[in-house]
Amino acid sequence: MSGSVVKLEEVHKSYRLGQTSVPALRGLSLELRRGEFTALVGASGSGKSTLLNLVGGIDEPDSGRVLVEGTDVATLPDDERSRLRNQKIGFIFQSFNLVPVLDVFENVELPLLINRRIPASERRDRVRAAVEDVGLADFARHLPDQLSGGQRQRVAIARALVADPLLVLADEPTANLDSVTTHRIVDLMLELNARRGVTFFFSTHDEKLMSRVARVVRISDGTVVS
Amino acid sequence: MKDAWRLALRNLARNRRRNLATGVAIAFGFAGMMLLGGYAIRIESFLRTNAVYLQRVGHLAIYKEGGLEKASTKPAKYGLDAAEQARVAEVLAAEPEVELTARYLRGVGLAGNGCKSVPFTALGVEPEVEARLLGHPEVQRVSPELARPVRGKPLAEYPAVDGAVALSTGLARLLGKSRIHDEIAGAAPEAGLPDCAAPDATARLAADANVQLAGLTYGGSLSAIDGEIVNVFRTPLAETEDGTLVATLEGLQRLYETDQVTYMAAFLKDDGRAKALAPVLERRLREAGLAVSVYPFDDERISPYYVGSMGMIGSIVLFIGVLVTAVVSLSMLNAMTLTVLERTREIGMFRALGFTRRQMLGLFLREATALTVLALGAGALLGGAVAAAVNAANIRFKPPGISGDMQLLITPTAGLCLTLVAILLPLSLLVTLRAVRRRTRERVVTLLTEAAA
Repeated sequence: MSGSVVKLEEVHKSYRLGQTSVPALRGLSLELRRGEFTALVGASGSGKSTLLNLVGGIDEPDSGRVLVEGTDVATLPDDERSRLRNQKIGFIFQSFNLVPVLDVFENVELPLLINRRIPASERRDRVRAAVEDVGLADFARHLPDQLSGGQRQRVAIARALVADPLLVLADEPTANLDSVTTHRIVDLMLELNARRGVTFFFSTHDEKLMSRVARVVRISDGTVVS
Repeated sequence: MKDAWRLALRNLARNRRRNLATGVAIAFGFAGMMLLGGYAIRIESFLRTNAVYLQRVGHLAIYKEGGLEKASTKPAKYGLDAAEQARVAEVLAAEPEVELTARYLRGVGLAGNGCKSVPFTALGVEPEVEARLLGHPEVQRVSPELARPVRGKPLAEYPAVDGAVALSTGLARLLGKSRIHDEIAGAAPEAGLPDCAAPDATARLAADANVQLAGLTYGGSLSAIDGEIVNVFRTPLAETEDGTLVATLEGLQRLYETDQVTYMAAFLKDDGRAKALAPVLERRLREAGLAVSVYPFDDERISPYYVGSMGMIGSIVLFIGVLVTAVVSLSMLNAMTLTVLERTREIGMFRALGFTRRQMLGLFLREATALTVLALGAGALLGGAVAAAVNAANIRFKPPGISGDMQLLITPTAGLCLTLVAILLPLSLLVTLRAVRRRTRERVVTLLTEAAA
């Protein structure tokens, strides 16, 4: 492991709730290094999702800087930020967020459709490899509603990895899964982290997962506590 | 690009009922406009053909300057004399867009049967030109019934009949002339004055096809000639049905003792060129030393019925068109607004994966395009089928102001369909843009979390 992939410096973020401003992050600083597998732990409302959103460039801090490979994400124009997300960041959502009218192969293919420089044959090869990596080769032509919850999350993982990102962000990826499936998904993420060297940063409130990850970042009231 | 279209088409499969309802609204709107437009096109074509060929206005009518307004009261001053006719004909012959030229003499007088006289409005025509006009493909296609005499044959087929005339059905009825030249086997009119009070007077008046035409000569004296009814016809307009007479130009000139004509008409190869060509031709005629005015057929002073009717039909089509367009737009707006609302999280997901705002807009616009094009295609099939069924049913009706009846024909053209597509498709995309744009401009996190909330 080497080099900083993500660096947050004194990041503040608050939300408006009616007339009230609710602070979500209070001067949070954090660094993620290449190839790390990091769990973000904290109670509900502690700022986990906000932190992931800022790192993923889908939200902007009120102050402070969020650097992805040295680039301040908040200063990028919208199209540049979209390109950064597409090429450097993979997202895994709690509720999978698969497109119901597309089959597994097509869902995984989505991030590659944006980059027109990738030839169709290469695109197909990469999708096939990603689908095989998550053990769904036999389900490539299945629609999401023909899959179990665990299988759907595998599709989401394949989709997050297919563009060969620097960083994969997962917001409570196992929250909608039973415990057996949860462990399988974490096993899969660990395996992909080890094999591909991709940096994983995922939030969870499942204490049982803590022992399985190399680094745990605890967050409380918008600041990192350990 | 191909993948984006594939995705758009797949997305149409979602909410099938809503998309079907929207598609049906668009398809019915398109079919309705296609039928209404097809009907308007048919009526326009019918009225135009009647005005140009059957009322003999021509695509361009050439009057001596002021003649349109004053030739009826001062025909000698405002008619075109033989020399002027020759010069006009020369200029028209040099114009490649002119297909045919005709000379017409208008006049009034009294037609008598020996017992009573009925006022008429006469038109003197050149029989050979008349035959070409009545047999013109456009006339045969659009208004064959009015071009064909009710009884008898065209004037050109009676070169040996001295004073051959054609009467409108109403005028023939008023004169009690129920038979024409061909039906009386050459019977000569009764010598002397008929006994109009005799019980068989009506039958005796109907026994021959002879009428006496009287009128004022251009010199101001009274003149009369004998006429032989060779055909009876229906006029294009009901208001002229009881008093129209068509004679040979030579015959009518003999009645009015003149070599003048009231106007000359130019028939063009392309209807659509009349308006543009009128000033050009007028300039050329004036350059040739002729003080004339050239009127296109759609000038209200020349064809008031055509212009008035088309104005009314145009207003109706416009009004209904606006309603249909509003319904189609609102259906599309409603469908796309709901679609976007339902797929807010998905928009967020796509944006998180790296799709730009423009790409998201493109995705929804492709969906709208696919839905609209499919619906328009279905509408075209539906409209075409209904038009074919109506045309095959041979439904007849009597339009106001038109003598006789006509077949209800709906003739939507490719141009009409393309125009409708050119209106409805961009409109559909505009309302989609309106429904989607605000959503795609929101922050990604808002899209993801609002939907989750």
